[in-house]
Amino acid sequence: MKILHCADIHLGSKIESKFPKEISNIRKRELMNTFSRMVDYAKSEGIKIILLSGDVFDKDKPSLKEKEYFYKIIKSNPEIDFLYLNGNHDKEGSFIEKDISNLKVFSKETITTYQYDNISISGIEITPSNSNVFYSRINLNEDNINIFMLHGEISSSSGMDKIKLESLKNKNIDYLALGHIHKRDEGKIDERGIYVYPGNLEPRGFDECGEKGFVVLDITDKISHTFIPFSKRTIHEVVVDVTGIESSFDILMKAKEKVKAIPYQDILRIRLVGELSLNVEVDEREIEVSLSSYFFVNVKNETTSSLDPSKYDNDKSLIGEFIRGVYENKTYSDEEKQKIVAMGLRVISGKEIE
Amino acid sequence: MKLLSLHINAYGKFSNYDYSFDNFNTFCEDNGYGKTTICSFIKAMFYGLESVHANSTSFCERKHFFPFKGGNFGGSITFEYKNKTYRIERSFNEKSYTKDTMIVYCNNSPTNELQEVPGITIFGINKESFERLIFITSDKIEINTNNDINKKLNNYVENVNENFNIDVVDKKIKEKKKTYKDQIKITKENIDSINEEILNLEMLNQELDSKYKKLSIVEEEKNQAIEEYKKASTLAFVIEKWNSLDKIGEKCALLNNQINEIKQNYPLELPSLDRVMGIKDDLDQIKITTISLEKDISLEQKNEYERLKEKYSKHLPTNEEIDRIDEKISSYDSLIMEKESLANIKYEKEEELEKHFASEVLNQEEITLFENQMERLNTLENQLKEIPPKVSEVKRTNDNKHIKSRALISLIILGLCLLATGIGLFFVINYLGIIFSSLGGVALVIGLVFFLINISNKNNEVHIEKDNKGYIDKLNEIKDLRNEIINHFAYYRYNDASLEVMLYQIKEDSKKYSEILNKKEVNQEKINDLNKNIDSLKEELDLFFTSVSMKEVSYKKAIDIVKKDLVELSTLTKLICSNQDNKEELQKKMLLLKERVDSFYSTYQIDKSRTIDIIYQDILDIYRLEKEYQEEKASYEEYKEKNHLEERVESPSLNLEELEKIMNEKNNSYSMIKVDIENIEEEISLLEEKKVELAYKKQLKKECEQKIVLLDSLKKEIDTADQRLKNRYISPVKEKFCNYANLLEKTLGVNVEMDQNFKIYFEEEGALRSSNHLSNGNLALCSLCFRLALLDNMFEDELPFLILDDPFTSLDSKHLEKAKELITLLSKNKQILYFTCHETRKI
Repeated sequence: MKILHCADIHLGSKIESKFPKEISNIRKRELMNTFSRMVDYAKSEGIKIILLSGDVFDKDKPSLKEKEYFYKIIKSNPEIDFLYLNGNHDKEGSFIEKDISNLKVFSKETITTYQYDNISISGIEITPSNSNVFYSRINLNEDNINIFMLHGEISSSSGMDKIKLESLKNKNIDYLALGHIHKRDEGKIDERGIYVYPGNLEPRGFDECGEKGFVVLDITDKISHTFIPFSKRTIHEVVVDVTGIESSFDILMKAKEKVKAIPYQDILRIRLVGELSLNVEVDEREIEVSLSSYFFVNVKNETTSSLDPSKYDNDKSLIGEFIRGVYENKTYSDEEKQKIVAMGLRVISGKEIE
Repeated sequence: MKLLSLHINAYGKFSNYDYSFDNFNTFCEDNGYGKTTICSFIKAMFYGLESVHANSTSFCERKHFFPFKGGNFGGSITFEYKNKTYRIERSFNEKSYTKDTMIVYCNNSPTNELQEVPGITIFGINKESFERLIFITSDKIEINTNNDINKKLNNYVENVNENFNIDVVDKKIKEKKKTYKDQIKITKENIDSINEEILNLEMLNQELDSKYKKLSIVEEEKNQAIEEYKKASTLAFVIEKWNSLDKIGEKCALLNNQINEIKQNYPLELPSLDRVMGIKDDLDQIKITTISLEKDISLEQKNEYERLKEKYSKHLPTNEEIDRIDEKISSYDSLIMEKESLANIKYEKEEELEKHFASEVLNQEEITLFENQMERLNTLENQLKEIPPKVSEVKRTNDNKHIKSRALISLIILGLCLLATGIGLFFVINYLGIIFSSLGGVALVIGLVFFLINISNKNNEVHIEKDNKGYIDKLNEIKDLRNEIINHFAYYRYNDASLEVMLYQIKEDSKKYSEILNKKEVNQEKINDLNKNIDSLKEELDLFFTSVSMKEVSYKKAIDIVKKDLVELSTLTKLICSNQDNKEELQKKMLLLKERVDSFYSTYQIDKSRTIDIIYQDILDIYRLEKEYQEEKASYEEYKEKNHLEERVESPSLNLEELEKIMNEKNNSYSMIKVDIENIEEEISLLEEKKVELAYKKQLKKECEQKIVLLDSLKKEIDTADQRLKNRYISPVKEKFCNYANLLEKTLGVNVEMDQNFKIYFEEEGALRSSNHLSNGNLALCSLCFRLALLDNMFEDELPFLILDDPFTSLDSKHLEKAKELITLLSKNKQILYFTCHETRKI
């Protein structure tokens, strides 16, 4: 039997804070569409169970449209059972439609189990009141293949949104289907079981770089699992060290060189790092425009000034006086000093202040 | 710091040149001596030379001072610095500074103390500043305003933009601050507006909870209404089914009633259909019999019978006779037809032949005559061919002898033989050969001569021709005979062909016409025979039809009328006879039939008012009704079973329309709330966006505020730096300037002062005047004082040397002398390199 495990879909997620509005709108639609594509994939692969390990929706009260979209997909695939565990984003689960036979939910009071032949799929919604005690209630048949669904972060302690791995040892869990952490991860629980975070389905921001998708479990007498990269786009963070580069054009060239292997459909975050001399101006916007063949590019300038104040110790000019004055002033932070010096050098040399 | 000596290996026009420096060094040489080269060399020793750039259009010292005469491009300079003796040795490449070499010696030992660029280490200024500060020319010193002093001061010490102006900087910072303040103001307004929007959206969001609850309740009600409607609809459906079933039941009952109603007329049992059919046949027979009994022949029939009887009173033909007459009529008709066909036979070419021969056949004699004439004509024509039409005579025109041809030919042949023999013998016996050849030649010549004469004679003969009388006679005879023959043919209308053809045609046509005439004769005989038979038959037929009073033109029509009459007469005769015979028998049959009918009614106790047709119809109706009843009953059972109609259900309290109305109302209400929620959701979907925007605006405001703080700090730092610079350089410069000004006062007799704002004034006739009013000479001296003051302040410990490149060109002799005095005075504590190109300015 094949089972699909996904988590943190965040349907209806607002992506405005990460991207410009028009890009956010496109990404929001793509996110919805990827969920639909995933179900189509399951259908085409003959997968009969889809585990949704929390945060299907981005908020407790998803809009009617988002809910309708979700339930329509479920209703139009009656041959697939959707096992839906609430996460911290959709913990209320306040608008679960009734009478959808293939949508199975989990309680927050007790551990709910669904049996498919010798495969038992259990889960519980972690709440402040049960977060410490549910471990002791786990009682799984040793002879079954046991899948357990939880939403939280692996931790050494228990609590809300926390999963104490130590307490799950020797509970006959074969596969702990987790959600909450958006980066794909897996590890061992004990000799018998493993835990898996599939990561989220579509990346939503620059903190969600790398391949995104879901996990397919192939269960015979044991469980094997495969990660399927499935997101419409991937977010890449590319660090470009521009130390010593003397012109903004050369910075652009170096950035282009660094990203040339990345497909145009993807999203780029370029971090410019290193030291630049004060007279080199970094034009982030120019780099973004030059790389506009990509779906979206964001350039973050994290370079520092290569100005060495000690070089101006003996400088008898106004600039020397100015730089010494700024660097001797202890009320400024280093960043402030750099900014004041940069502005000062521009204005002294007759340029406009940025 | 003091220069001790220099050695030029090769530099510009100098090669292997040495110079030892004193405290005051005067270079008074003509233009082109190389003063600039020496200055450049000193500078190059401390700062090096820039590489040659291919595209550069500016002055390049490396290129300019590359040794004119070759040699090692470079040299050394020796100087004292911080109580040590240093020597800088440099070798320059033609183009690139990277290939230059430099070794610095300190007290004759190589050292790195002076680092990469010794000039910067020693003087603390870069090359450009060195040029500005150490080199004093006549056109570089200018003092005008307070700002210029400041500006110049900076320019002298560092590579700062020429347009640097503290006031401009202040203005720029102020403008930038204003921009940020404006931005803060706008952002603040934006923040307030966004906050308001967020507040509204959050209120809407809070409303959403109650809307959701309401939606949930209405959804419940809606589902309930749908459920009730579905239930009622199902009930209505079942009731409708029962109604349909009842209708089928009613139909069954109706049929049953109809059957029973009919059956009431038959107290014992319903007679069988066969029995009823039998009775029905009996009744029909009774009816027919009754009719037969009542039936008699009509008057018309009687009249017709009488007429026919009268008509055939003389002779009533038998059928055989009729048949025989009929045959005869047929024979008569066929004979007539045969006769007509024989009479109308037309033979091939009959009409045409008729025109030639007009019923008169050409006999054999005539044909023989034609043939004889033709034969005779042929004979005559053959004879004519043998008779020549003309007779000719030959006459000669002269009397020349005509030699016979044979003799000539024999002579020529003989000549040829002799000639051949002679030639043959000539090879055997010469003389015989010659004799024979000669004889042959003679004979040949004679033969040819006579041959030519003969030809000539032949040309002189005349032929004369005359008509042959026998021929003409024969020809006339032929003509006559031919005309005779033609006329003969013309009689039979043959004239369009040759005589032979016409003879052939007349023979053939005559033969064919003879055959036709023969055939016609045979036919005529046949017609005659037929006429006889026809007349005989006509007589016989006329006799017959006269006997039956018929005078019809057409025998066929007449016989048909007779036949018809006889049939009619026979029928009427039979009718009249049989009418009388059957009446008794029919009456007996009638009684029997009535008995059977009565028995039927009594057996089944059927009221006699019920006719057998009604009974028959009753039976058919009962059969039909019973069949229909069975079908309806089966249909009833089937419908009941099919629709599972076991127990009757009660009608719902509300009818379907009312329930549908309620359901629609609930649906509408649900849709309205849903639309309302969706609209609110749409609106509050902006909440997140607004929050982000708010955060962004706040961040923007914060950044603007920070930037204002930074700009304040910047202004403060630049002002401080400016003040420090002034404090460090300009105030001492002012002080030193005043010292030098005192010297000037002593030398020039002019009191020069610098005020708090570094503005230079001089006292003239008891009043202070601005430097604008100074003469060029005095201004140059003031400038020199200013530069000296600057140097004094910048280099307190290690005062550098000073290069004066003819700075007093604009001074008159009086001022020049004073300047010389000043320089001499100054050179006591400063090393001066003074360059001039004119003896009058030599110090």
